[in-house]
Amino acid sequence: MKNKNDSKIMSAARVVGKQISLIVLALLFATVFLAVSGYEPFAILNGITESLTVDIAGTIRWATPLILSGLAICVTYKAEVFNLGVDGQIYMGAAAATAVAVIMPESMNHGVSVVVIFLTAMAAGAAFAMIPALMKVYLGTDVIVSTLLLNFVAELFIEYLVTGPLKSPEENMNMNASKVLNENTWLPRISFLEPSSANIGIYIAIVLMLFLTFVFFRTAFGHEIRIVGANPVLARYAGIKPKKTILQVMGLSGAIGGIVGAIEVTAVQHRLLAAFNPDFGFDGIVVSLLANNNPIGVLFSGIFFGALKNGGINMERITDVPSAITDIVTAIIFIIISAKFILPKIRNPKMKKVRSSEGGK
Amino acid sequence: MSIAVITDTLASMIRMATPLMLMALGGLLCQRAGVFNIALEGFSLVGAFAAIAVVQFTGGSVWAGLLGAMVIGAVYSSLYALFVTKFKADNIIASIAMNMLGAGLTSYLLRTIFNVQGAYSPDEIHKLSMIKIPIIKDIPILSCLSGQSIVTYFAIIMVVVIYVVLFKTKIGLSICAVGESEVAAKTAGIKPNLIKWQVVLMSGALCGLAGAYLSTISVSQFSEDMIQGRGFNAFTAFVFGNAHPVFASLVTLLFGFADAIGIRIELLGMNISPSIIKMFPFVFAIIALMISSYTSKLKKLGVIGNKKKKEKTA
Repeated sequence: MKNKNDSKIMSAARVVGKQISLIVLALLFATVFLAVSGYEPFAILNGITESLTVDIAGTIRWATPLILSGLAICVTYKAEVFNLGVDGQIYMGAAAATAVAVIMPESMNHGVSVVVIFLTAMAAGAAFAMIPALMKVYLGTDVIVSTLLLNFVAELFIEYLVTGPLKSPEENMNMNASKVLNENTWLPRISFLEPSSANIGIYIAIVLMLFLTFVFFRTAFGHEIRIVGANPVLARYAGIKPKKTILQVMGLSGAIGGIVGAIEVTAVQHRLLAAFNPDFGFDGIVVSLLANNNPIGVLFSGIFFGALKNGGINMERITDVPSAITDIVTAIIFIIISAKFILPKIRNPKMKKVRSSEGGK
Repeated sequence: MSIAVITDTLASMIRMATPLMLMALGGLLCQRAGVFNIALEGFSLVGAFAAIAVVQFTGGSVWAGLLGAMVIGAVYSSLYALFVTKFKADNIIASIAMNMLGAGLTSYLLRTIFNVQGAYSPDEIHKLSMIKIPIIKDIPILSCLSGQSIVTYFAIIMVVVIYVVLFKTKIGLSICAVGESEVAAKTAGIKPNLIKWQVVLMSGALCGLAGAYLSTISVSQFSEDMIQGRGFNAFTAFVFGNAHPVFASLVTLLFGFADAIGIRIELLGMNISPSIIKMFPFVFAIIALMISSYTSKLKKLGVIGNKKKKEKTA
């Protein structure tokens, strides 16, 4: 028994070591890149260090949506469903949250109104995720492409809302946004981290992380998800309905996406902005893959990407290094993860099978 | 509706479909060779940026811009080719990473080279004149084919060229063989990785040209959100078109039509939000995707069609 535990720890350590070497490699690339283009080479490293020490508040602000998006992704990827539509689900959650918050009477109890807003946002996100899920289940449509296309529909829908029905009545405002929401609909910020917009969404993220860890490793449902992901044919023999599982994980993922949207609206912006979402959904994919689709790992990789993002933004303010360098770092980590040569063990061998069957459509 | 309006709408349909057609051609070549390439979006974005950069540095030459975009598009796509062949990268993840890298790189270079954020127009740009085709330009409705840019005609020629190469030459046969079964292709003396390199570079060049069309011919500037999901629409187009060059191009015309109708509605001043109008091509694409997956499902179940071989690319 002891041996087994030891080897478990060893393999976990090896995984973590590999992931860290991957981050180091990407940061090295970025440093060289900065040096070549004539900027301060260590800007990005300084940015991250600062984010993890002095400006932890800013890191938490960005880590919250990234951790949640990562969790939304890892739920579906465990079942080998390539959901690229978390961005769309975030938009829809934000739209629903704003719509409810706008009609919420000012006299309403603070707690009740926030709970109602979040439940609506979760329902909206889940409902939007049902579109590709149902297409997959009933028509066999490739989830990858349908979710990508639906992201644009959702983004344009937000644009429609903030230029039409939910447009702010304020005169001479030159941005597309809804009106500022009443204070009784705001999700509280963390007071000791003021003035940053770090909010109690981070607690939601941690609770959700623990909940999903429990679900994945200690419940029958989690077991089903993993079997469906590993081998849908076997799953059917075991009496599991893969179609039902696909609908469940997509619904769960959509609901988490909805939470991200609601947090961004009610805690960070306090209004619905046309382009409030800097592709959290896609970043969530990297967050989840870097964590090997493990909820506990998602927490840490989410914090790393939060620090990266925050560092990039601070850096742009202080020096003139464009914050787009953080997107480049993220993309480099992403593309290295995709390659088998560095991570032969971590990658799920089933992934290739999914590709050849899905790519054929 | 008067004939002039119809002609006008059709002409704008062709204009809108041109970049989609180029991207779809690149994508379907990859698809045929078994490379799942949804990086069309990123390749095109890099092409759009490269075109504007080259135009700026050559003192306004759009010709150089188009050519430069093709070359740089191919160079950028070589990174994808490297990962897909040499490192056996997961195609889906690698192509999403390429899209992300494209967005990051262009935004970064926009700041570094031109010191602006969001969008940049070159100081000087000598726009290409549209080509008038002698007889066709006087025939009603058909005249929509005349007065297009050189890129549009190039795209149409490429449809034919790729059709011939895919179905009438040895190279095309090798491409399809690699897509069908890499092991079998290897036994037949084909080098799968070489084929994959070729198709990915080709798609990079075609997407680069598509991006250049958007930035130097449609408008005269580069902006960060220039491609707006066209790459994904093009992907849907060739999936719906069965990875067949002619059918895929016809589907891109359909998407172009959705765009053109939107513009027409806007011009008519009907009270529909422009955001809703911009959704049209995506909604079209989703419907197309549903139809194609439904028909391929029926085929698989043996309800319609009995061509066994087609299923793989369908």
